[in-house]
Amino acid sequence: MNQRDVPITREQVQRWIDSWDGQGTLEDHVRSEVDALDLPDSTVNTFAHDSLPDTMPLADFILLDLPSYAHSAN
Amino acid sequence: MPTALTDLKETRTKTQGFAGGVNIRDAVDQLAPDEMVKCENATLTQKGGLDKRLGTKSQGTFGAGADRGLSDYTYYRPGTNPQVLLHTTGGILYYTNDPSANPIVWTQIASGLSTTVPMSFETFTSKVFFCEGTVYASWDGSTYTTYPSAPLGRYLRLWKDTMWMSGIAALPDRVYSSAAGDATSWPAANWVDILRGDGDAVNSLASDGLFLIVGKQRRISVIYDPGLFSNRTADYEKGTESHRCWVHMEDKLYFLSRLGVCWWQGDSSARLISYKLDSLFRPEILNLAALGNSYAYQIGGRCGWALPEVGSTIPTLVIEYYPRLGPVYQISGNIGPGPWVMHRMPVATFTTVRYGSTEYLYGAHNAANKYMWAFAPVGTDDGAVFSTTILTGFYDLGEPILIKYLRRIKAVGRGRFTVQLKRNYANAIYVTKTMDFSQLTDLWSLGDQWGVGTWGPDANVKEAIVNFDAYARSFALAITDSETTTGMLYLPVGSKDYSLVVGEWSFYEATFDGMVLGLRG
Repeated sequence: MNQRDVPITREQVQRWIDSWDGQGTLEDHVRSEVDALDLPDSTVNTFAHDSLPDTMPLADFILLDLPSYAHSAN
Repeated sequence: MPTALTDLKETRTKTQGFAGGVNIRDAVDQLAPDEMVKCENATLTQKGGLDKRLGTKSQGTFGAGADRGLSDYTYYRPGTNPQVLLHTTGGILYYTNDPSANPIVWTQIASGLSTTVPMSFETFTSKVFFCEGTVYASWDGSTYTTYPSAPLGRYLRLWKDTMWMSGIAALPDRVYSSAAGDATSWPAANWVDILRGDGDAVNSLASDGLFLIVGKQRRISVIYDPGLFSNRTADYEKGTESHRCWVHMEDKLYFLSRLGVCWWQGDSSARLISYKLDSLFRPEILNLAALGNSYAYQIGGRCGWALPEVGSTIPTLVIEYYPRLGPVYQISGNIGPGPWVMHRMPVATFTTVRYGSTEYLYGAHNAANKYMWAFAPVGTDDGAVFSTTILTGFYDLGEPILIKYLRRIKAVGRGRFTVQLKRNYANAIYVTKTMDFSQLTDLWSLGDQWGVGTWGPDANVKEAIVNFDAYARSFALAITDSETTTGMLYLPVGSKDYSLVVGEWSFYEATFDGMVLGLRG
């Protein structure tokens, strides 16, 4: 799907981050939340991006922006 | 041994106006007849004519004594008064309902904001949205709302019914987009990196209506498809310096680059329009590290950029551009780059406020916690005298070798100022004269018991002849003043003349009357 068709808001991602209990990694936690949405299409078109393939898994794409959230994967 | 006497050759040369503006790029002997070496604190109100600029007036103070304005913005609201928002170095965002009040009543919207990063503003869905790297929030005229999950960038721009944001320090290439039509919602996948990892950082967002323009210091890209985030680089050579230095004026969009002020071309490299000021854009003169604090304005037929000079992080020098006074190319009908002047005035941020029948330019003082009315109908800067400094190129009266006797100058102008003569490319002042076009007839009625003499500056343009009795191969005119009042310009509109408040004096033309002598000295 195209980026604008992704039905996940930053508010949702922030809630996932805030709900992470420290078990495993934050990345795995976010991945599991994305998987739980059970979206019909789990890849996103990224052909407008330098250095990225034309499509990539949605969870990977969202993880690329984790540093912009209040609690990053760091 | 002379065997015959010949009559001395009379010479008269007229200046050609000053619509060429200031030119500090070219050697002093290469200036065009209508250009000037110096032109500070004067405006080009009419093509060819120079006016002393109007002054600046304090509209009262804000915050604590050490606070300074970082950025300001006019929040227009249909059907009611606009509000002016002011972000200060105290980390406070204020608003006022009436910037024309004196003193202005400032009311706090929020505190604990950045004390160094100027806030960026955009109006959308009847609210003003703003960010400065630590908060993204909105204000609807009475309610302040924050959006904690939004990205925390420094730059906002509205484009294609969508809010766009950039300027997150940890993600210097990233540009975010809100949900279409909703600047309160930020989808998790609405972002794109522009020129990823190029060692540069986004420092401005702008739009020409067609594209979202993403500026970095060394290059400029555009996002041309808001749906797919498709982008390309538009200018590989010029970058941008300040988010607040994009100016729309008529059919053109201007911005500040490291090289100077440029005219955005859309699909090709921008054109430099400040080439006559090339020498200004050097690290010895401007504080390159603080160009991000530069601020632009547009009022009437002109626009300007306030720039920080060396030693200052706050803008101290204004360069002002007159796009309508550029040369008109008769075949295409296009107008070429216009002239420039400079100002030193105590204003560091700007916002134009149009409300009701008024349109004024306001901004924060660059060295005090005062809010100023720029180009106000006063003859001083916050009560202090300011002088105009003009220096023309050198005129050799068409004869570069022989010495001339300059008998007199016939000038056309208004008000009163001082004319100084420099000669032979030397810096020393050779002759100083007062040029006085002030009122020559009594304006008091004939029935008055007193009122002998003159009264006030005359709005009418006049001629005056001043005897110089000077000798030189070439002459330059230096004009300065210490006037503290304003003048009037009668603008003819058909059968009616409108009187406009302008600077105390105007200088339109000088005719040199003299003789060409032999070769001397």
